[in-house]
Amino acid sequence: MERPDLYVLARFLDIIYRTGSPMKRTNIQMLLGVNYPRFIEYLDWMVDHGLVLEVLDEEKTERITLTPKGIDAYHRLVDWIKETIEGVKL
Amino acid sequence: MEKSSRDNGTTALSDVSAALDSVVNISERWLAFLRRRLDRVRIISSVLTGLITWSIIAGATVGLLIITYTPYYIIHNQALMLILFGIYAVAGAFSGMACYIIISRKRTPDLDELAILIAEMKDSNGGVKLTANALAAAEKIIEILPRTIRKRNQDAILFGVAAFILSVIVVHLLPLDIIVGVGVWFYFKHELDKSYAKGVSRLEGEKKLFEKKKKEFMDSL
Repeated sequence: MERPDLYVLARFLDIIYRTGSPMKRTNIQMLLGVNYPRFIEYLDWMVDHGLVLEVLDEEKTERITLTPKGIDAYHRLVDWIKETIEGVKL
Repeated sequence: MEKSSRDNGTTALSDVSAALDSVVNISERWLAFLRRRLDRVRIISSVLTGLITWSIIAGATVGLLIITYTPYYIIHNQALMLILFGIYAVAGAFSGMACYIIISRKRTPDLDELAILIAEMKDSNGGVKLTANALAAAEKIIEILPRTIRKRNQDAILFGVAAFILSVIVVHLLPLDIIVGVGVWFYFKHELDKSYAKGVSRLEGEKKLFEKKKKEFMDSL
């Protein structure tokens, strides 16, 4: 994937950040509302960029969690949106 | 301070929620402003339509009377002229109202879309699309504003018509009244065009800056 859609990335980050705990792939994919191959593309991109991490839980199930870089990216995104909308003047 | 408070998960989430709440509030204010502006444009268009209808019918009647009879006939039948002009004023008012209803029925996809985004942000209550919708709302507002500014061009015509009517009442000399009306129209058109061009170029600049920052953000990941 060359350049992912920022809106999908925002939703991806939102889902994991707000859940607050590692999530199963299928749960994220369903909430994200994209097909599975597309979801995998996004997941791979985010793993490659160090935004999310795949971990194993106690039942040895693969779960996805945000890395500190992912959390920082989400905070920066929210701050930027707020600054942008506050800066709009007529 | 902000960074350290964000080290704590709960505080960070409340910071994020507060920031997104602020985005929702600001978006709502912009939506209300844009709707007021749109309604103002509708009213101005309707008033202009009413005045143009009245002027065309009244002008045609006076012309017809002058051709058929003489200016003397018009001068000595002022009561009839007043009744005719009154009827035409009512016709003008109706055409203005009809224009308002027709324009109001016209859909405003941009504003509707913004309203949906805001409603979703408010309903989602921490849902999965909150940040994406906040981003979409910011982008939508930046996209709509330059177009809204352009739609104020009719103001100059209205000022010209108002000046013409005022001149007809005060001066009573048609060629001069026309000169006053056209003069005021062109003056305001020139001034408004200047200020609109400035405003539009600034807002277009904001749009470009938004795209640039979006790219910078993606590159930073």
